[in-house]
Parts: sequence; structure tokens; C-alpha cells
Amino acid sequence: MAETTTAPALTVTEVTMAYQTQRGHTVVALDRVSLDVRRGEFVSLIGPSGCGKSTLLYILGGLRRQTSGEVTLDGQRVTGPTPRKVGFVFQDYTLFPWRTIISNVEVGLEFRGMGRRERREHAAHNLDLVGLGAFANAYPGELSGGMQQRVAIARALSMDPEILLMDEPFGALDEQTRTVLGEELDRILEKTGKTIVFVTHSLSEAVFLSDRVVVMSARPGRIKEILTVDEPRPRQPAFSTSTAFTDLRNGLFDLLHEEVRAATLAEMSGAGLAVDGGRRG
Amino acid sequence: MSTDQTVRPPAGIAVSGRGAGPAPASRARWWRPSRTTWGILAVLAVWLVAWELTVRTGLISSTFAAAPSEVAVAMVELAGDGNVRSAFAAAIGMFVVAFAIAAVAGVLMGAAMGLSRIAYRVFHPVILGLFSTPKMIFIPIFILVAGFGVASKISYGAVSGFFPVAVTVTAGVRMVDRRLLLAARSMGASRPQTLRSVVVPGSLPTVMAALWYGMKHALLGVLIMELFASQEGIGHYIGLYTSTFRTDRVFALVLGLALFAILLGSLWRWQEKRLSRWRGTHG
Repeated sequence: MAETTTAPALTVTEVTMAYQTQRGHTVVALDRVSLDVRRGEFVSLIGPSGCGKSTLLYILGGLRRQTSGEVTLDGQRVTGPTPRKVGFVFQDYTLFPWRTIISNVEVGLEFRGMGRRERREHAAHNLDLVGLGAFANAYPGELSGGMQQRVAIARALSMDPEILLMDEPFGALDEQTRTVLGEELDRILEKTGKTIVFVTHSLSEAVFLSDRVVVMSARPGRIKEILTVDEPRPRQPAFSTSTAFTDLRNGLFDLLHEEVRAATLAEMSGAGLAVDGGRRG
Repeated sequence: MSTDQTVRPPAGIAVSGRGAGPAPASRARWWRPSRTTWGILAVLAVWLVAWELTVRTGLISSTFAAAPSEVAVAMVELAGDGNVRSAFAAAIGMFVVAFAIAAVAGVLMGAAMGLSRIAYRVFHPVILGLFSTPKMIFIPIFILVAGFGVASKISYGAVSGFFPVAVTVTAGVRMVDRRLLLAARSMGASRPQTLRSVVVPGSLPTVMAALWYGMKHALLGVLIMELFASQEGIGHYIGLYTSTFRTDRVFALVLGLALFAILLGSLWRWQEKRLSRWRGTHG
């Protein structure tokens, strides 16, 4: 993490995402978002629900196409998934339930056409890295949610991407598991030196893990502010009880509070309109 | 508590039976029936005895129902009759061909409708409509086109089996978890790779269920046609024995077919369990 070079790994320029609802309204999910992510940096995206942070993540990974604007990865435009450079970790693990753990970890390499033996070696190494080597032959259904998500991280790492895009990876887990996995993720990243873009709802998680926290505004999603967390890595559990941490977290809370309030009020008035429209129609 | 009590007596019988001699003891080693199995056997025994008694005491006229013992004798008799045996074999053969056609055509059609939105829009309403129509009303047309022989039975069985397979496979393919498809795409899976690694295993349980429905309907189709167009074959014998009041033989034939269907079902369930072992690990 110390060797962050000046050339950005990922450049987002004026990305706008708009789509039509079934009623024919145009919804602007992202409005001219621009952002640079440096190599080896950990960037969190945080904001009220519906602010387009997950959409932005999917656009970065080429899983969705933006309406306008440009995303470049190592100077090349992103137009579709680039599994050699970008790995995904989704909120709901998305392991293949009919495959064993080890075979889940190697599936990306299988898609790439790597030979059986070589990919098994890679997979075993990464499974060890997340501490689940002993579960190689289990099925996902036999593992807890936290373990499944570690497998999903191992799966993404085994493809050796430069960038890891994580969409609320610990969102479905309980607070304790979440904290421990966060620390573990930090340790793993310390070893692998990946660039991370991380979508989260948790203020503490964002502050604890990130180099920078990008705060997004309610719909249409724009970047409201970017906070920098100046804390050496690997982050220690003690950091989460320090005053620096609390100050950052409170600052983040104030920034977000207005946005969440605005988003919730907009949602409520939107619901009111929908009811009215229904009555009239 | 109360279920425990009701299940216990047969288990007690098993224990005393095992102690009775060395032969049953060695038998018990490879066949260890569960309490449920004993329960089913007990119900079956009670039912058979009741049936035997109602017929023997004249509560039901023996013109309309044969006692189990008579049916058993008739079964042995018929099993010794070469004509009946070959009629049985022919019916099973026709069923196998009909099911094979229904399975291949149904899976292909279902996969097409599940994967392609255009195919779904074009074919699904038609197929669903035909599936909901009782196919019996088309029997005269089948006979008209394919005659009274093997062709009409196989084609009617195949058509009967095709619809449930196609409709269920479509649902299975469309229900494959979108999140898994997205994950595969993010890992750079090509379309054939996605099919092989996500769509096929993800829809397999439903496809197995689809084939089971298809099997049931294909068998039903062949047998219905046997009864309608019966110059030979099982249907002919059932018709013959019914009109000559040989209810014991009618029952024997029907029971033979039922046993075949049950055997098919057990084989199928065993196979399904073997194929989807990972599902047993859930919960």
C-alpha cells in the first residue's frame, strides 16, 4: 500500500447513468461522476440507498454500460468485463452451490482456459490465504455466510486481478463477523497489494478499511465529498476505538445524514405521487 | 409420543423375527427397513386382508373385484403366457421410445424457450395452451393419421410426454439464479461456458423433475392409446378379460403395470439423489 504511484489505476470521467422506468420516466442514477483511483489504493463508496454506488461499481467492472462518460483502466476504455484485470466480490457470495469450495475458487481460471493442475494450485494457495484450506472439498451450503464470502474473495484473488471491486461484501453478515472479516481483508490486501473499490453502508467499515471514502449524494448520484483516512496499514483493531477514528466516523455521519434524509423524503413524496397517479389513472 | 407407540409394534415383530432363525437374521443385515417402511408394510397388509375379506364374504361381488389371492394366482398364470409377456414387453418398448422422443424434443424446446426471449414469446403461449388442452380429444386424429398400430401409440405417448417436459424445462432454465450468471460474466465466462457451468447444473433439478413428469405422461399416453386402439397388446387383453368378467386377470395386468411404474419411480428417485448430492448439504 506504501507504493502508490502517481498514475491512476482507474479513471472515471463524467460518467452519467440514466434509465427509463416502466412508466416512461427518466431516472438519473449517476450524474457526471469523476474519480481517480490510484494503484494500491482502497476507496470506499458510501451514500444513501439508490445513490447509484453499486451501479457505479458495475460500470467500473464493465458489467453495465453507462449512458455517457468514460471509464479507463490502465489507459484503456472499459467496454465489458476484463477478468484479467478486474475481480468482483458480490454481496450474496454467488458461489456455485453444486461445486466444491476448491472448484468454486478455480472456476474463473477454468473460464480462462488454464490447465487443471495449474488452476488447482492457484486455487489452493488462495484458499489457504483466506484460511479455508481445510474446507476445500466441502460444498458452499455447508459453510457459514462469512466463510462463503471468504471463499468468494479467494475466488476473485485467484484470478490475480489488479483491481478488486466489492459490492457490500459483508452486508449480509452480522456485526462481529463483519468486523473480523474487515480486519482479515486488510491483512490479505497487505499481502497482495490490490487496488480496491468497496461499496458499503457501514460508516465504521468505510473508515476502518479505506484510504479514501467517497461520499455520494442522494439521487441523482453525485460525489459530494471525499474524506482521506491517514492511518498506517495494516490497520489495528485499536484504531477503531481511537479519537481519530471517532472523529472521522462522526464527520462521515454528518455528511451522510443530510443525504439519507433527503433521499428518504424524496422516496416518501415519490410514493405519495405514485398513489395519487394510481387514483387518477 | 403417540406416533412412537403406533410405529413400535412392527419394529417389535422385526426383532422377534430376527431371533427366530438364522436365515432372516442374515437377511436383516443387507435390508434394514426403516420404521416408515414397516409402517407402509403394515398398512399394506391390513389393506390386503380387508380386501380379501370383503370379496370372500361377498360384500363386494366377485364379478367386479377379485380377491388379492386370486389376483396373485392370475399374475402367475399370465406371466406364464407368452402372448401376454410379449404384449407387456411391447408396451414397455413403446413407452421407452415414446419417452425418449418426448425427452429429447422437450428438453431442446424447453432450453430454447428458456434461453431465447424470442423463442419464449413465440412458442410458450402455444405450448402452454396445448398443454392445458386435454389431449384425449385428439385421439381419433392420431388413429386416423397413424392407424391402430405401434405408430399411433408411440406418437401419442411422445406428444403426451413432450408438453410437460418442455414447459417445466423452460421454467427451470428461466429460474437459474441471475446473480450466478452475473458472477460468471464477471469472471469472463463465454456463452458456452456459462451454459455448461451455470445454466445446466443450475436447472438440473428442475430438468430431472421435468423428465419425471414426461415419463409419467408418456406411459399414460401409451396405455391410454392401448385401451383405445386395442387389436393386440396389453389394452387388448385388459378389454378382453373385462368383457369376459375375468376381473382377477384384469387386476393382475393393472397391478403389473403399476409395479412397473413404481419401479420406474424408485429408480428415478435414486438416480436423482445421486446426481444432486450437493443439495443434501443445504440446511
